[in-house]
Order: sequence, then C-alpha cells, then structure tokens
Amino acid sequence: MIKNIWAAFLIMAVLLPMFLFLNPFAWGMRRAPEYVPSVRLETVLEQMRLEISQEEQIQIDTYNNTANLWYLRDCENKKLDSLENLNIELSEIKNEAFIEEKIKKFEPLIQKEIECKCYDSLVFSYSVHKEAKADTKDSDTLEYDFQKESEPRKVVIGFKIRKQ
Amino acid sequence: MKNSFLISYSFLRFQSMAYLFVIFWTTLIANVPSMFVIWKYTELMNGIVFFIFLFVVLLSVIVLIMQVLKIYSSQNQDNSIIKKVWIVVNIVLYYLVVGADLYIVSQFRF
Repeated sequence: MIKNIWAAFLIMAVLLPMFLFLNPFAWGMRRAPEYVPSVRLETVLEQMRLEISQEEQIQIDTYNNTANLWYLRDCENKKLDSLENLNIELSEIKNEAFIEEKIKKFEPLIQKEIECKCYDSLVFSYSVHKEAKADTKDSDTLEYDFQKESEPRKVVIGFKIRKQ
Repeated sequence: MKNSFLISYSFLRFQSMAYLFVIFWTTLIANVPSMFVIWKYTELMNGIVFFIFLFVVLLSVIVLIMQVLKIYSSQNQDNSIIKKVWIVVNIVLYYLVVGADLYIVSQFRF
C-alpha cells in the first residue's frame, strides 16, 4: 500500500514540470531582454545624479536602449549592419545651463564605462520646464506659437563616441 | 533481460550521466558568457542543444515513469534499495534538466 502511494507520488512528481514546460502560455510569459547597464556605468550615473541633485531632483534612465544581451554579442562577432546610439534620459529640468555643464563634465566618464566600439554616439535627452510667456501683443505682426505654454521643451544633446 | 533493462545499473548510470552532462553544459553557458564571443557559433549550438535537451526531457518523462512502475510493482523480484534511491536521485536531476532547458531557451534567438 505504502509502496503504491510512493510510486504514485513519484509519477506525479515526474509529470508536474510538464504543466509548465509544455504550456504555451508559460512560454509566452518569458521576460523580454532589456538593456542592463554595468555596475561601473551605474556608479557614474549615480554620481552624476547626486551632483545634479544639489540644484534639482532628477531621474536618470537608460531603459530606452536596445537590450545588450544580444547587441553586444552581435557587435563582438561583427554581425551588426550599423551601430546604435546609447541613450541616457534625464527627467524634466529647470536650469538648462547647469545640466549642460554637468553633462559635459560626465560625458567622458560615461564613455569610459561603455563599449565604445559598439555604440556610435552618446545621446542625452531631457525636457526643459517652460515658464509661462509674458503677453507681448504690441506689434502688428501675427506670431504663431504652436507650442503650448505648459508643454516642456525637449532637448537632445549628442556626443560622438571616440573609438579607443 | 530486456524487461529489466530500464532498471539495470548500467542504464541508471547512463541516465545520470546524461542528466549531469546537460546540467554541466548549461552551467558552462551561464557562467562563461565570453563563450559567445570566443566561438561565434555558440548561439547556433545552443539552439541545437535546446532541441536535443527537449527530446531528452520528453523521453525522460516516459522512461522515469516506466522505471518507477517497474521498481515498485509487486511482480518485481529485485528489491534493491540502491536502485530505488537512484531513481529518486534521477528524478531530482530531471528537475534540474528541465530548469536547464528553460534557461538554454534564453540563450538563443528563435
């Protein structure tokens, strides 16, 4: 009796993984590969964020990049037709001059931490919080401003990566 | 005897070695990512390996069930404790092989 129960238990144990393994829905739930920055790059980006946080609170994201699992392997094996840019996105800012100064300071440090031969350019993008415009309707000419006053202005700064 | 071949020591040994090879290859792929760069056909190899491992897993289901039925059936004269424990160990290795196969899927592109 105990032998039969144990045998039935072992058979169920063998069949159990098949519910996951042969389940097409389980296969569809695989996590898609995403861009994962290296530890050193994350450290540099965190330093940048801390320096910028002296004036304003921002977030720095690198999610908007091709998943590096296969991209870097294809690059090493010379299977790529063209190189992509590495995009670093900052959240909405107010002091544009300050941010540009920090970007120029950290750009060479970031370039050191990425695979220079696999990326074409380093691209920083952020939105500038636009202040409301003063009413200047004292001229006869019509001014068309299609941008709403509350809409932030998108800025993109690119740096060509120096191949090492 | 053909009837007891599945629960013979040689077959159990072969089965364990096959499972251990699957686990070893997957561990190698997981811990040595530079293999993809050293040999550019690693990804293609992993695709082939996945289908072989898939076949091994599906065949294992049938073989393990037959082994359990044979070893625990009342007609079986062989009451070897070693074989019973060995089959349980092979079931545990089979779980690791299923996990390994699921990992290998992520190491090649369809």
